[in-house]
Amino acid sequence: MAYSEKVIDHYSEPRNVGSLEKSDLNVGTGLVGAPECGDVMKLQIKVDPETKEIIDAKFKTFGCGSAIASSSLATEWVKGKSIDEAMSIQNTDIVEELSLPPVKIHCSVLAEDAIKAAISDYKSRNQD
Amino acid sequence: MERIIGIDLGTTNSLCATVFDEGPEVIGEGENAVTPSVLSRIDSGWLVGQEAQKRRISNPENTVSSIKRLMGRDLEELGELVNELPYKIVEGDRKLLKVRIGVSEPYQDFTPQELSAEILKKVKQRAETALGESVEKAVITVPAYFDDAQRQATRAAATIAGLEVARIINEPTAAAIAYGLDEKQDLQKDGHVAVYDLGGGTFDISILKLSGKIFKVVATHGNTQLGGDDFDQALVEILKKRILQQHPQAHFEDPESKQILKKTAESIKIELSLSPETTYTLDFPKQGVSFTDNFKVEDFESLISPLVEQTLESCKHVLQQAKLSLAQIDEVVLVGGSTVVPGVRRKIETFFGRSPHVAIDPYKVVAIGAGIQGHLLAGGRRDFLLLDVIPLALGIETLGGTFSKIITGNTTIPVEESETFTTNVDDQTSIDVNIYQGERELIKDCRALGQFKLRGIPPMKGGFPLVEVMFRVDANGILTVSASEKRSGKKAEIEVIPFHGLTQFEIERIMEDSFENAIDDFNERQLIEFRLTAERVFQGIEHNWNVAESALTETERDKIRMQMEVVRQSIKGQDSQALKAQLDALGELTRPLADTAMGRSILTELQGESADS
Amino acid sequence: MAFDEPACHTCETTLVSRLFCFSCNALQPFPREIDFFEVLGFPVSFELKSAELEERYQQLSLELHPDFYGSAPEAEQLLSETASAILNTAYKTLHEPTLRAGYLLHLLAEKQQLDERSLPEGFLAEMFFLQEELDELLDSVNSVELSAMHDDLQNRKKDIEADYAPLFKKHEEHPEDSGILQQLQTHLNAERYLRRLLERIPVAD
Repeated sequence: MAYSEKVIDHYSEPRNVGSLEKSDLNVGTGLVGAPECGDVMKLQIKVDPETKEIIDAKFKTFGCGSAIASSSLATEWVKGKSIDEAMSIQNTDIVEELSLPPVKIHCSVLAEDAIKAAISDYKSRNQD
Repeated sequence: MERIIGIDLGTTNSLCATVFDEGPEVIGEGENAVTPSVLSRIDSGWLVGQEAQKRRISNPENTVSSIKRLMGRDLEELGELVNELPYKIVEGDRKLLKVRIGVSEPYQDFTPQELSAEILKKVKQRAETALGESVEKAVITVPAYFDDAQRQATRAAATIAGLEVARIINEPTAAAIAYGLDEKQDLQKDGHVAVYDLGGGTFDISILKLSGKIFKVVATHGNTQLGGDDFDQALVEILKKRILQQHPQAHFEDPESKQILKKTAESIKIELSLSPETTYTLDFPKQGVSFTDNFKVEDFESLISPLVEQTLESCKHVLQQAKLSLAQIDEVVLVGGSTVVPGVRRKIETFFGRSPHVAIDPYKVVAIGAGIQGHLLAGGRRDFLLLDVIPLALGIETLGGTFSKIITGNTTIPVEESETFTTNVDDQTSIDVNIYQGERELIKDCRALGQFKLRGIPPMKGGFPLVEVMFRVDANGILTVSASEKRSGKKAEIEVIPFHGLTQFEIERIMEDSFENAIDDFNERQLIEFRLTAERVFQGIEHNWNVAESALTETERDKIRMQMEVVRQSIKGQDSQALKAQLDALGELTRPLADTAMGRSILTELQGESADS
Repeated sequence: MAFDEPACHTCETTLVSRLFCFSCNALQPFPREIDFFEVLGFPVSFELKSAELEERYQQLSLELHPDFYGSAPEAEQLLSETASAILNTAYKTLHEPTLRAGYLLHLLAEKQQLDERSLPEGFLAEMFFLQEELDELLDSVNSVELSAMHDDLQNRKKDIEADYAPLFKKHEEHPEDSGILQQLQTHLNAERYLRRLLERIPVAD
């Protein structure tokens, strides 16, 4: 099981760790958890009000390495995408990219859920 | 009923026990009961035990001790130990360790498994001689904290030695059995027992719950690289410093100096268990260095204090794992030669707040427990049961070098857990899984046990196959793995590549080799042993010739000289019995000296020989 | 839960445990989908006396363990090894109340559609907050507050555990009410988050 450099990188040096201003109307926050293991993950996106493109993403995850790497990868992927494009990211994409073993598949589910939760939070706060 | 003996394969000493009509006891008497775990290479064979022990200083390059510390390990894991050991270690294929014998080319390299097998062979032979019957099966003890690779290595050693392993059990558990089933001991039959086991090279602490007929291990912790050897090594370092102060030119890197230092350290340690102070002398004849000094017990105790503290940390840890407080420990049992050191014993007593059980000889208790377990396995009794645990979690490598546990540490064995794997890409027919053992989060802090290659998965869309892998830990604490694809019901093939052990093929090859070598074994072994005896008898005579000058007549002395020449001729020959006869004749000629030191040493040599063969 | 009244395959006595016949001392072949209550011979219920469980486990261990099959035919040795393995797992699961609750819920909820991720309102946000707070406490090595947090979490965990027995009892009385099972699921989920936090707090000596 040789992991690609990229994968190990997401584990040892996760990208986009941190927080965005929650009260900013352009920020959507998703908070999800995995009851299988008690992991909690917060993922935030910042959307350009004009282009509706995700211009920034941050996360904070309390959980195992796989959960951290999954959220790190998720934030990388959503940046530069439109909301609809980001909605279509599937956990299986994350599983494949990070070659997650069966025991860790729920970590990728968590990341997918976090993206969806952040987008729906953004949408609910921007219903005109 | 067939006999299954119990063998305590120790770092320093090995011994075996069985259940006699009178009860369980160590097999053999006096010196024959204990086989020092030391080997010495001579011609194409090995001397094992006392014989090898005597050659530690005279023949250091070819003499090997403390092999147990090498079992199932690699060079990196041994760290500093490699430099401390008086013999050479090289790394072969798959990081397999080998002990290198010889001062120059051609070297001979041996795996720790082969070397341990030689010790086991000797123990087996001695048991057979003492019991007057052949011994085929054994229960072998290992430190509780031995991982899978170390257990596998032990089992491989037994296989090479021609012994069938009926069971591998943990040393502290064996000790608990010996105490728990001994009616003479006032050990509580229901309650929690802590077994503190500090041997030559390993430390274990186990907590057992005794209830009715069941001995259940609740938790275990330890350090397979901490023991009395480390006390010796700490002493060696001090001795070196002291010598250098007086003899700045002295050096200690050669095998002989290392052995001299180690032997002196050992005897200082033993002396200080009996008296508050001891005098020692270190002679390095080749360097012209002789050094005499004293060692005080206080100094020794403060020297080993950090090591003992480490063991107490383990004790705290194991209590936490067992979810027990100190007050809930009803009994403490001490096992292993190093618990004889008064400074160690005192600290344990203070820590647990009670005086430990020491009634059964800590050198023998493990072998006795193993002997009792052997008796149970052979069907001799069924009035007790030992439920042991796997000491460290087993799991697989996952993303980014993290360790995913499949079976947690301290789980009662036997145990089975299954895990489902799948493929990443379409038509993938194999999956590689790396297996690790440990308690840490990253695989770099755990032990790599091996790689399992799952083959023969029917071609399907990626992610579709469901390969169920069954991890099984048997009652020996040894892992086996099997796999099947659930959609097709097809059994997947598993190829196991051990990272630290011998493959089945390698074990078989070693056995074939040793079988070929064993054909002339008996005569050869005797020849080797008698030649050695002759060597030592000669040394004894030469060293003490001044005694002969005054005690014997010229004629008598001439006779001795002539007989020595005859023996020298016999040494060159191949007839072991002829050599023995000439040696005995030489012994007769020196008999008038029996009252002198010289005579005594010669007679001991000759008697030692006949007692053992 | 294949049969209500499993019988010995040799002497046809009704079995206490599906693994072993105490009347003719025969190891029993067992199906892989055997449940842990059948293994230990108890009715499928959360109510389980610890002492009785312990006694049954010992009794079965003394019959099943591979140590007693050293000279038996290989098939029997193998069966004793697998039977002991499942006995050990069953005992471990039923012995610990949280594991028992989780396992029992899994058995009971087999045909029901439960929300497997349900949590009390606002619970997840609180857990995230506590995790962040714990990070700070760990950084500042504030042992007083750490132990206060530890005790608080421990108490909440105990409160949850105390609810298992009455909830399962309620379910036995009202098996049609799937809301009770959902409530249990919520409890079990919440407990796992609390346990995760507790695991991060180093235990003081």
